[in-house]
Amino acid sequence: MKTRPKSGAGTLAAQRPGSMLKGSWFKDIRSHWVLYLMFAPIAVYFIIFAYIPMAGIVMAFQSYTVKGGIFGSPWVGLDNFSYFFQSGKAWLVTRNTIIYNLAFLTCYTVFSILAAVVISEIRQKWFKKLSQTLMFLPYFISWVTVSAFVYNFLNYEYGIVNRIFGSFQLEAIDIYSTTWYWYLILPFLYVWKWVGYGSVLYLAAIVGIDQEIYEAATIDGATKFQKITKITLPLLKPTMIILLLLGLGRIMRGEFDMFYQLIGNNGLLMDATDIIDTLAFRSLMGTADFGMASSVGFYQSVLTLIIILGANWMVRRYDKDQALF
Amino acid sequence: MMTRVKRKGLLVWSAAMLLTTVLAGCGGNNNNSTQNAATDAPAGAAAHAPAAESGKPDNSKEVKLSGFLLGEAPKGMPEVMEALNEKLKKDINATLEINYIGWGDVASKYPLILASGQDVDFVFTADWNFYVSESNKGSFLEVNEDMIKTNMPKYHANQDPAAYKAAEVNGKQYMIPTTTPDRKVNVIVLRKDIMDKAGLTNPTRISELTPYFEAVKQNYPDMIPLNLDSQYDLPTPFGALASEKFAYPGAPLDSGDPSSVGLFTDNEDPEGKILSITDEPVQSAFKYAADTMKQWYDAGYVNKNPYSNKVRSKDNFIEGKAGVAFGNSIDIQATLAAAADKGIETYVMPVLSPTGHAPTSSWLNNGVAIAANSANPERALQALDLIMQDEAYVYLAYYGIEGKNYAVTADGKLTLPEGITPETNTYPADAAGFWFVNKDYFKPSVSWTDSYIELNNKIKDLLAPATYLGFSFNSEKVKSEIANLKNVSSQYYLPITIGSVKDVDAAFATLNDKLKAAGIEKVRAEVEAQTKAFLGK
Repeated sequence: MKTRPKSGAGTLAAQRPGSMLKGSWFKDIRSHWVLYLMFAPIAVYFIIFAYIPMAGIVMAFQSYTVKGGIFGSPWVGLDNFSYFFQSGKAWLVTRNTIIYNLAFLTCYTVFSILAAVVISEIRQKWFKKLSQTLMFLPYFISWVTVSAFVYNFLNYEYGIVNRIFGSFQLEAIDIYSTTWYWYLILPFLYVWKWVGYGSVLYLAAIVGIDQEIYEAATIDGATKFQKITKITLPLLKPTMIILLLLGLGRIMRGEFDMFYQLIGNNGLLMDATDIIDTLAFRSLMGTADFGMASSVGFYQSVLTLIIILGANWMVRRYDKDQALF
Repeated sequence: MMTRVKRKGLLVWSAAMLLTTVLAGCGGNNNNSTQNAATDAPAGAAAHAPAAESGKPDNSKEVKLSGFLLGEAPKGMPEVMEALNEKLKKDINATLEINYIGWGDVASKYPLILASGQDVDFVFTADWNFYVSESNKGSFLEVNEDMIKTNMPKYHANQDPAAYKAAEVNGKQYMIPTTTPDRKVNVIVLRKDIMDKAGLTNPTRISELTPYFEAVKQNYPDMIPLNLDSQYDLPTPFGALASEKFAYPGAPLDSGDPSSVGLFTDNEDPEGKILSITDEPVQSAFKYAADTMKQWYDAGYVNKNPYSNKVRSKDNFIEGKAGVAFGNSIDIQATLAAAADKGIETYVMPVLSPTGHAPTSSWLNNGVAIAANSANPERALQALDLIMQDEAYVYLAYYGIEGKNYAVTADGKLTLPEGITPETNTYPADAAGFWFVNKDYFKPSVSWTDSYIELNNKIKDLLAPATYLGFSFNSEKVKSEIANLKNVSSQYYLPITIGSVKDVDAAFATLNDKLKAAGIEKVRAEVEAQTKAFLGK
């Protein structure tokens, strides 16, 4: 997610058209050594923190002991996987995870683009800064704090919502034991927290659009709305596709904190709000079994790989240049 | 149950100053203690001599020890450690560094610290804190009686050999259990003013409290009669109701969490039959408890969202937001003192079985283990011997520095030094996590209220050893099933315990089906095999 060399995309590729195709790799390094030097720290980071730890996947097939460590513990085959699939909830939580994350990703993308476009159209500078700051603020608030807010807003006895309802003589609502509210509350909070961050990414892309295009459109008599739909949005598409593909990479995990803090062990909401991470956490909390926890991680990784490959394949079919690989 | 008692209890406990377990005068160990006190403080070498002449450990090389405890370091920790290290350097030529694992991180960090091979010599452990599972993983160093005898002579003299047996996992001992298991019972605290309004004078059971709850609802609009939190309180009233019918587990069948896998035993059944929720007396007791909870829940006596409430009833009790406080006789002392401060008169009601008893705590409730990777296990044991059993060390580790963190009155009671209040004390008693020290050295505190002293005096008679005292379940062979059962009980059992289900019978039927599907019969067979072996010993 953090830094994909290509996500700086347009500019970098433009400076060195097709250089990878011509000549040998060494020649390429020699002629673009500055760029490679800039890339090196990122490469090292990913090798150390992403590639080397992959070997730890073997833990999913072992019964971990401190003495044997990661590579010397006894092999147990698929035993570690059995609890997850025997739980009878494997399909439910997988489905919940995917649906929630798809909903989150969609809302996040739509609202981020919307916010970015609106902010870019605001001419008043102080208002622009203010609204951006206010939108970004939730990004810094942890879910633990949010859950305390939410509890004070929504709880049955003295939550603010029910107090207001009470003052209008309306009947109090019991949000913490009714599932359907959460289908709205969870995406809402997700967007509230992340939209500031997302809008900055899209805003950067909008700022990068050549002003001459807009000027030409103004001369041709285009309205503001036409400029947005005919120029801004189409030119945002590459950024959107990249961010969506990257977002899909997190689709099997995503926001454990949020679910865990807001819902916790609430049995009444569980079927509607259980995701893979919360199920694994709840089941394995007391046993601290590394092998069983790794097996769930492995399952998530495999599914993620399939989803990314699938999405990328679809993007390739649609437009080869915009695919990740 | 015990898990919650300890974890939450001790956390909040740190707020209180100078409170201890039951005082001296409780038989057994006293002789030894006085003897030790008599051999006197700069102890170390001198006291070791007679016991370990032959295999006397070689302490010529100075070592640095590292220990991990739970919670967080009190502000005054650096000074206490300085004083402690000065003594340790003199006595056993070692210095000690204490690190803490915060309560919120215990489940994730505790196994990691042991597995990462980082510099750890000893670590807090308990049956409610991964003792059995980490032992299975080989995270701890095996200790045997010889090692203890050589390196921990004072401890060895004070410890009941049965404790070593209790600490065995797969026939090997990994824990150095406390010599003084806590003497405590679970209690329910009520407000006298509300009791008067409800016309209650001397309630002894939670089921008698319906008029009390109604009085709360009528007279105190901002107070919720049963304001339960997500961790400790949530199943507590249900448990208290079930206790009216049979000796509901308070002592652990498994690592402190028998309810989470759906297997129970009657603590006072000498045969120790393992029961599921469809066996008697569990079924009828649970049905009774669930029906009562549902009535209370529907009447609005229970808060609707305990899962999301992180404030314990005993804290809300002081704020006037909870009608009832739940806790145990040790950790409730702070609540009683704070309530007295605010002018709230309290009534303490112990939670007892139908025969009027409560189970004894196990030795494994508090202890230490040596990490498998420890570079200096012997010196660590020697340091622990002093910290756990030498009176001067015990006071230093548990109460801090005399004259700065605590003082002793002329009549031998503990108090705060002049000018120090519970808020400004930088090293509150018990807060530093040395819960495994010899608590027989403790003195009563001047802040104890009469009702608390009365309860404390009664406790010895209330406690009865449970059939499975000292048994800990090894779940290694059924860990997939345990993982699933835990999950099933969070989803289907907890709602029953707070009374929020629509139909109690249907909820029990669903719970039972789900438990069956998750493999409860397999776990039961394993539990039965292990308990049989335990009783056969």
